[in-house]
Amino acid sequence: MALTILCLSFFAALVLGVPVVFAIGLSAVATILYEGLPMAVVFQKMTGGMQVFTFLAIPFFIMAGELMLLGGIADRIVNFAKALVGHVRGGLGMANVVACTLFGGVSGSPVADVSAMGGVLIPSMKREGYDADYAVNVTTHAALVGALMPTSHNIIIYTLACGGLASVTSLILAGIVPALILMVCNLAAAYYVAIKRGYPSGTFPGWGAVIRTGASSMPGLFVVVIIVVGILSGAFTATESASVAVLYALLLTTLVYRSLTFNQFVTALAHTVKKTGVVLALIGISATFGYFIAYYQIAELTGQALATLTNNPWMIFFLINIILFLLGTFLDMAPTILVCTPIFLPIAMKYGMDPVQFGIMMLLNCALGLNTPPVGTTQFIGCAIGEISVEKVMKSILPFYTALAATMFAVTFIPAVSMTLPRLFH
Amino acid sequence: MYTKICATISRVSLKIATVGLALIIICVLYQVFGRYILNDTPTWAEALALLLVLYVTMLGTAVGVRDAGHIGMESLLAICPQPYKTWLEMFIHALVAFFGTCMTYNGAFLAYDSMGYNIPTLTVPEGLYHIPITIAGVLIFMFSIEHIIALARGTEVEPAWH
Repeated sequence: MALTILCLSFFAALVLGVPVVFAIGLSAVATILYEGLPMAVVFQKMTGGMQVFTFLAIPFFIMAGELMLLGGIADRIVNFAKALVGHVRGGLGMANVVACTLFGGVSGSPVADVSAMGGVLIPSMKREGYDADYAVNVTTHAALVGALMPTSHNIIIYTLACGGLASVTSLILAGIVPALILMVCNLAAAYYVAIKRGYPSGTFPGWGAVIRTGASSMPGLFVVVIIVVGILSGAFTATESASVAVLYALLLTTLVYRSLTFNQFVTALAHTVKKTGVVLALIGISATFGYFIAYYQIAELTGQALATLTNNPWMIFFLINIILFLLGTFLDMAPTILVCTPIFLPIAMKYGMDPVQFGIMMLLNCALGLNTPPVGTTQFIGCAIGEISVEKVMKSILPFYTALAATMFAVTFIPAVSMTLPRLFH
Repeated sequence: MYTKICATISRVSLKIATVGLALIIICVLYQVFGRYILNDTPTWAEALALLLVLYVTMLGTAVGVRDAGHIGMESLLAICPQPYKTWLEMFIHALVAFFGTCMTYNGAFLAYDSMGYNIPTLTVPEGLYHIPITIAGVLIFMFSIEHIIALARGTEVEPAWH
């Protein structure tokens, strides 16, 4: 009965439109009241859930991304990508994919990526004669790579949700190859559509321009190196690496690029506070939810339900992908990770999937959800920038969904794709 | 008048939280500095950062309620016709206000209950861990009521600070 109250109150609140953090909180309160336990337990667990040193990396990653966003790194990366691949057929589409991948490495967030790159490249592509739906689809799909990058705060969220079964270091390493595969698949999709629609090739500006623009954007991209090397070498923890990345981004944008004003710095802090308030509160309250998931053995019950359908591991993984995708279309990344990981990770592990591999699969699924209505955050931002309706964008989305699905199936069914680098370094 | 008060509180909360965030960054950087340069890792830095993050997060959460910044689904809201849509929105804000009340009461209870114990590395009362929940609860309640009043008047709550 308590389990029914928990699930029904959560989904009812969610469908009504109550923000996820309060939907989880209200369902936890309702369940606690039914069980006759003190309500203070919910808030005690919420406070405890937010007090993990590793989670401080989340505001730091967000802050570093905000500084890069406001500090003018975006333009430099776009210029470098244009010089590098702008001469290929559908050149601006190609440059878009490369630029989004590079900026995704800096920001670690698909939403920040599509805002920054889309803001520059979508209008530019439209001016050059590219269709708006193509420009939006290329940008929104290429931006998803940010979720897999070492600077992705969703990686930190997953380490919480999996209860320490996967380390930050392993996940950071595991995301690199899938991110590159996703970039290649996106390039292929963009190229295919460019040929089909007869988009022109650009002119190669010469290796001098490539080197010049590359050198200009390299200090910005170095933030990824700080995080990866800092953590891998053991010099810093993930949180400390992220704080050093913030300091580096601040020094770079104020002293080297001289593009960040004091007001922009304060704006970056305010944006970070708002986002932190959303994400960390969600993490805190999910600690209560996680407790209930374990207490009522929801993972085992779900596993038993799946086992009645099939016992084939590949089919189970496929079904988990479908469920995650469907939930991801309604929910944002953080709540999907926090709610679904404790339920589906034990099932996936039972059928032989590593928690690190599951994490990358989960991140990719959530990323796909960001580009799917009814709640497709990056897609909505892309459409707003491109001044085009979601319906029109959906009509030509298939090649890009195929690119994403190909990456997702590679991650799901070929463990080496995500597990080679973590195993190599451990 | 009520909206002006809420806007001012929201703006001040966000400014306090930005200072808090800057302090957290400084704490963690000082920890790195202490370990590698001073050869003396400050034990208070991590504890202080973990205390401050509660204040920053909870203030950010409360401001998020006023600025409608929290993640949620809008499926039923999107298809609901007027005037039921307004009533539904009011009901949602009432639920959030109720949760704010729960936060206030239970946060105050936990804070009062743990005031007699000290956080070892900071020598400040443990009750400070639970005060942010109480403050956020009060703010969430106030901001939700502000939204309900705005809906009743047919207006919208404007974010106090972008």
